[in-house]
Amino acid sequence: MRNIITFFIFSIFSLSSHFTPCAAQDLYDYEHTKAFAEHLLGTRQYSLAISEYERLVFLKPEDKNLQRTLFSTYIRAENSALGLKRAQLMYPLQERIPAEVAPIYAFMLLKNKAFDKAKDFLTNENTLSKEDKFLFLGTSNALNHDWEDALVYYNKVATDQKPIVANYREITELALQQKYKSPALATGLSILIPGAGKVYTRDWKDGLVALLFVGTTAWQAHRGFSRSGTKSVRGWIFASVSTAFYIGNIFGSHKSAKFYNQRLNEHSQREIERIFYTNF
Amino acid sequence: MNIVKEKLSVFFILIFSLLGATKGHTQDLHQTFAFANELIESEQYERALLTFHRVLFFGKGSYQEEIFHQMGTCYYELQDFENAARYYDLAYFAEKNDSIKIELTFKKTSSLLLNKDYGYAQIELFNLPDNLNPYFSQKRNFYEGITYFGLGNFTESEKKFLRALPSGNAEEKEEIKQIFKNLEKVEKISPKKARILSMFIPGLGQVYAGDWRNGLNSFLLNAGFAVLAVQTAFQYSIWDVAISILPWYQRYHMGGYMGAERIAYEKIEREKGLIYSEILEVISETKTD
Amino acid sequence: MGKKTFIILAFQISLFNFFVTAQSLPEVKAHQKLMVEEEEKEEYEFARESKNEVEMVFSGLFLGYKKFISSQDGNTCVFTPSCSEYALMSIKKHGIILGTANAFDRLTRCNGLSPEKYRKDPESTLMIDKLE
Repeated sequence: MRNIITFFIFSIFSLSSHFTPCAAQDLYDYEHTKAFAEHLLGTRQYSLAISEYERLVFLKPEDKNLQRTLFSTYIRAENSALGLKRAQLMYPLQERIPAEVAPIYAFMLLKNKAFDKAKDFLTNENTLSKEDKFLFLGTSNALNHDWEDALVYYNKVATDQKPIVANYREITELALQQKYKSPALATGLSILIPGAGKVYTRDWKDGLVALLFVGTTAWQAHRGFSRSGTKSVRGWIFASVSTAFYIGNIFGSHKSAKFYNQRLNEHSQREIERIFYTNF
Repeated sequence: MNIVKEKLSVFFILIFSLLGATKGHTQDLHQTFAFANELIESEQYERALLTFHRVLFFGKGSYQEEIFHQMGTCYYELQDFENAARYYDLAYFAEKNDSIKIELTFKKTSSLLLNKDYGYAQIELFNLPDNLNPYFSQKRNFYEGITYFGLGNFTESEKKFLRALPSGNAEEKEEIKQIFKNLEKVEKISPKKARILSMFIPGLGQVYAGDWRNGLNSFLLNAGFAVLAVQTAFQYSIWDVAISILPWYQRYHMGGYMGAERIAYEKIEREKGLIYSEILEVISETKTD
Repeated sequence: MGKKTFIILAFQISLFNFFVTAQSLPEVKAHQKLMVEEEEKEEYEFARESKNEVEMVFSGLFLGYKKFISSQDGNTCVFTPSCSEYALMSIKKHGIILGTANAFDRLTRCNGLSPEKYRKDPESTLMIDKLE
């Protein structure tokens, strides 16, 4: 793919040099494009601004700040996935990424949840300051709900260098202190009393409904069996439905505990994201 | 698959952004404007929009009325009728020529209609001057016909559509009158009646609205529950019927009569849509000699 | 601008004999589909691809239920995707035992008592509960 693009760029470029007249006013030259691109950014037309910044980067490949603006435009256009692909196309080798682009590249990796790649990039790259690196690495772990490792990295950042790290640390410590629910306990409780596991994970309404469903169907089965013995079709139907609700509730209680923990984690994750995105 | 797609998008952004930079003959204001028009000709509306944006930005007011007009066309073709109406409106106020102003009003009306804003379309048509020449007044009748139909005023709609036909088309006029007569039959279908019928005999309302399949389906399902209820009552007790069959019976009985009402309503809408489409078919076949 | 005005004026002068339709054919055609209701077909793509016989049986049951029973029901399920869709997807993903267990758990959760737990689908106003 890269070869095709290079081919295209070169062929178009070589063609254009034949045709370009010496126009007095060139709306597509560097100055005009820059003015138009800035106008589009100013009026928040980010998707349109992308192609303008692409042109600027093409016209002045040596200007690394332009590249940074290009990627930030991708992010503002809520297309950081495409921005990341674009960056990887521009810099096939991560270690070649210049200092101006490195922070936004790391940002896009985290935004795209490419945590392994982010770790790889941050440990091998040498333009970012130690403080920045640890902050990124900590955040990478925090967004991945790995709170212990996150705190290790955040603790390595000197507070006087980066005062904001105190906020990150506070959220991470709170995340570590949270009271998680045990999926095993929830499962066990629901085996003993249908619905009890869900009451434990605070889904008490669903727990009560489960108890009601299992209870009424079991009672119906019991009525069927006590009336016509094991030949009761009704009895068997209600017994199987009741069993299914009983097992379903055990399975659901396990899931409910896991979701409860996930919700706690996601709450802290959003807090981290809020600081991370607003302070970038 | 996704990766290929994303790589392709990067590729296209690159190529498109560079085309402008390198296309030698489209560089100053006038040429960029011409290039944007060329893009419309080749149906590349999104690129045309960006190029018009550029001309607007650097032109400081020149070509304004044409640009707004063309941008309206781009959005219209892209089926973004809200923006189309907005730009036709801007073009209307920038334009000085009365005939073009009237054309723009029709285009805006069309955008509003396609966005199903019949009320706004009507207001737009009210704003046209009274003394239109025959060409424009015929066109106004056409758009008023659609607007009244959309608003549910079929008597007015019929009048307007008839006036939208050139005077030579007696046969077509007769056809349109006939089609509007069919509409009366459709209007007699009553969703409420369908609902009540299905309350007493499940499925009857659906059959009344012309939906045999759903009528039979509803009848059989409800009959099934009735049989089950009787069986349970004899084998077990009324109490068993009440707790294990009745809730289900109630659910599908209610689902049935609510469904009948919905089916009747949908039938009316569908038939009206077909009738409307037929009218426009007749209009599209009118002779233009 | 000059060109356009000229064309329109020339057009109008030639039109004084009434025998012309002002609304062009593409103009009429553009509005013809306006009020034709497009029928929404629920395709259930996932029910048409089965990996084995068990999945085929359940897919068949599902499609039969949708066609003859669910179609006669009011909108009683509070979730999107609906419980029957969820059940089939669940069985296809987790196998018959865990899939069924998960489906029965979904049925007990389909009670509408905990709206705070789910996001709402703005179009159908149903609560979103996708298969995880």
